[in-house]
Amino acid sequence: MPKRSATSLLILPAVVLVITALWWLSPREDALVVYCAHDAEFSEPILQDFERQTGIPLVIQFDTEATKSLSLIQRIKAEKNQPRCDVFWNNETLGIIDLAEDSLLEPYKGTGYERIPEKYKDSEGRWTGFAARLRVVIFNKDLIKSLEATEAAILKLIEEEPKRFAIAKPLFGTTLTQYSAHWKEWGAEKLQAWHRQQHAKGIQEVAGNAKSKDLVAGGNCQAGFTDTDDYYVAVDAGKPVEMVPVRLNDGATICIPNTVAIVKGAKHQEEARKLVDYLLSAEVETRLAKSAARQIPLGEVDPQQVPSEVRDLMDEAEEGTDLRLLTSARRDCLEWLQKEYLQ
Amino acid sequence: MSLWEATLWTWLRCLFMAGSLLPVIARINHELNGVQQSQRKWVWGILLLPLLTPGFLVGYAYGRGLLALREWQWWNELAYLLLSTARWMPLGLLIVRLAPAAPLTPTGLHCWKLSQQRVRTWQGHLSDFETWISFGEGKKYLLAFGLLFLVTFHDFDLAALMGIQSWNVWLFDAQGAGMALNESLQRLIVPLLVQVGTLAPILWFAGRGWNLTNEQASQEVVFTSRFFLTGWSVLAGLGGCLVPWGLVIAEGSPGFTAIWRQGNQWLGLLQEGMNGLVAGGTSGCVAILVSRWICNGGTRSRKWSVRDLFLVPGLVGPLAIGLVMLAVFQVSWIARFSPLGLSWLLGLVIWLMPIGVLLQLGFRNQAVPMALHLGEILKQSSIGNQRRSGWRIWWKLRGDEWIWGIVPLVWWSYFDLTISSILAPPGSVSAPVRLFNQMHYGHSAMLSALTGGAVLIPVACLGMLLTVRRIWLRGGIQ
Repeated sequence: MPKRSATSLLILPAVVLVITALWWLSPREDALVVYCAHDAEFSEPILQDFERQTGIPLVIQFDTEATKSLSLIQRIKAEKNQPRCDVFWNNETLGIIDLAEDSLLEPYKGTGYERIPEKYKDSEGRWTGFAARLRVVIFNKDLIKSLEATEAAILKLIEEEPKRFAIAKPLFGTTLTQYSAHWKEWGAEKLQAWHRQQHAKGIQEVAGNAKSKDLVAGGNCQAGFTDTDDYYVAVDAGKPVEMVPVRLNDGATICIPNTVAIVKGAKHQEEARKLVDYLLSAEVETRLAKSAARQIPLGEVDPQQVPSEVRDLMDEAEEGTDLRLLTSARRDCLEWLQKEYLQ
Repeated sequence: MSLWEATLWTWLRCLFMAGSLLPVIARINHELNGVQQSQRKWVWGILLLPLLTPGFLVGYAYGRGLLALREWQWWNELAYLLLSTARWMPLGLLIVRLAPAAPLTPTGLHCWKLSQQRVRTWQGHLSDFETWISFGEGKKYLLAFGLLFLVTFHDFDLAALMGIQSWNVWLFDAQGAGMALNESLQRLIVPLLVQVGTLAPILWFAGRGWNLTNEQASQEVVFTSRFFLTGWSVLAGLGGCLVPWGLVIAEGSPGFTAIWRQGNQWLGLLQEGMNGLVAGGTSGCVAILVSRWICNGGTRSRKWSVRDLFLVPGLVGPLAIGLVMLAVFQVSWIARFSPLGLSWLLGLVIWLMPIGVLLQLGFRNQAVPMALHLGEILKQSSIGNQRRSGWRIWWKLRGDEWIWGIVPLVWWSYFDLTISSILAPPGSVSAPVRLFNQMHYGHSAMLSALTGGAVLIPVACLGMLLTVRRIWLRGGIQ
């Protein structure tokens, strides 16, 4: 009998092991694939309820801090020839507009589409917004007694002590949306000069809004930019924080809704439509308003079902700037930021 | 900071870290010889604690405290250096302890120096150093240096968490900012060249001339001070393992009861833990097989073979591997025919192979040649009892090599966050990836409890494996 090494004897079991692993890791063929950028803590129970109510099995791919390196938007772009995602639940707006402009989304105007205000949805129905958050300045009450909710007051605060003001890196997320709004309003030159000046003076730039909130809540910074959902994490943790919404020169707030869309070439069109209708329902908006993230309903809901602090935010949300008009500003701003940070 | 600058900065930091760890390893290795055989496994257990503590648990535990340091960048760098050295030192020590005997013993090297009878010039010192590296104990330290450079150059999670400048954090940001996949892949050439340029001479020196026929130099107990060993073990064990665990347990204890009541939380954790174990276990087993095949490609004196080329892709780091695999599996005909999950497994195998080969090189001299030879003869016997005895001897001598070759690979791939988050199929995410995502949003009792649970899943599996091994050896070897 020819001598065989232990390694060669183990090739067959290894092949069996790989096949078994691939079987285990493969999603169900009949499942609706959902890419979800909203926090799993809040979105998963809602999606699980949809599964229970409709019997449609879901496979959910959450966005992660680690995959910010390859966000779900880029994943959808990368998969355009072989789409794997059926429904995309994004946690902001400008990225999904980008996908719509690349013709990667399927138009759909269902029952949920009708109840959302005009400025928070695509006129062709390729995406629809719901359950929003506001861009805010969070400040530590032990360090600052009060803060006027005007652009001038906020800029003055940053000018005075930039080293004690926190901001997330503007290359992505809602900070990029805020920069895009300023880009459109102030013009490229003014924003670029302001950005460089504050960085030269040592503004505290961190990886994300949660860290910006942590620096303020912990007293390391007196104030910082963040979103309402992160702000309420600090409030619930009993931190001495307060907030004012970021307002642009014209008084508009920056209200950033979640968005939902059906991906072009989705294999489960009918089920995808059911999920989109479900997510855009008053029931889901109310649930998200009641969650720890206090998402602001955009469509009509029963006010008695919504927590009082969210009811207060609903007026601010109505004053939100039209994010659809920021598409080109975002593109130009991002191009400049890439040069600024990555060259 | 440009990619070039970030790569240069990472390179300098990693060289410094790997270089400064060598005297530490040498000192601990020396003092370890002063520990009684019966106590050594306990000392090893303590030394390995920081290495076995997953980076994301350490990062989560220290996260809030370290945020306050970000205003003072150098302190932040120092904290990162301390945590990294505590974490990686045991790996270097393992390589030094497991490496085969050097061609020249310290006595032989001393005799060689005496025979040179030359004036002590810098050329003479250089020649001594070269001989020490090429033929003496220096080979082991060179191998350890190479491995430490490799793992620190690839470190991403702790660096990103602490806001440390590094090439892979740069690429991470660039991707997040919308850099196209093709462009990212082109940019990868810079760190790849730097890494290969650093590791190639190390591998060339370290890979040749091992004395594979001789047994490891005697590690008899010698009287020596154990001050440094004790100090390092206590500080690294506390800072790299016990304090982070303590913080997580203290915060998570109210969460344990809450999730115990919510059965679906535990079930979800188990399901995701199984995903991680299936992917990690499969890729670890395949990686060890390929590593052994690569190691068998050279001659007994370990000359280079074409098989070594299979290691090159693994040197680019998990982020680069993830991106490349994603690009490859997007090619339409591959995407159409390849099962989901294959790219994930393949990515993990590629990443694990260089570490697998280094472990194999380390294990090569651990078996006793005579006993192995006897076992091999018995395995070929036509008499059943003798053949079974041969297999038992083989298992006693080689089985541990398989187990301790696979276990670290499975451990690392289970806790990998980068490749897994990029390549895992929808719905098959592993527990560490899922929890790392939630850690971004802050601390909570439930999250701390789940984090503890996610780490305990592979620990429990390892415990079961060792129990089975013990029962097998007790029953099988008389």
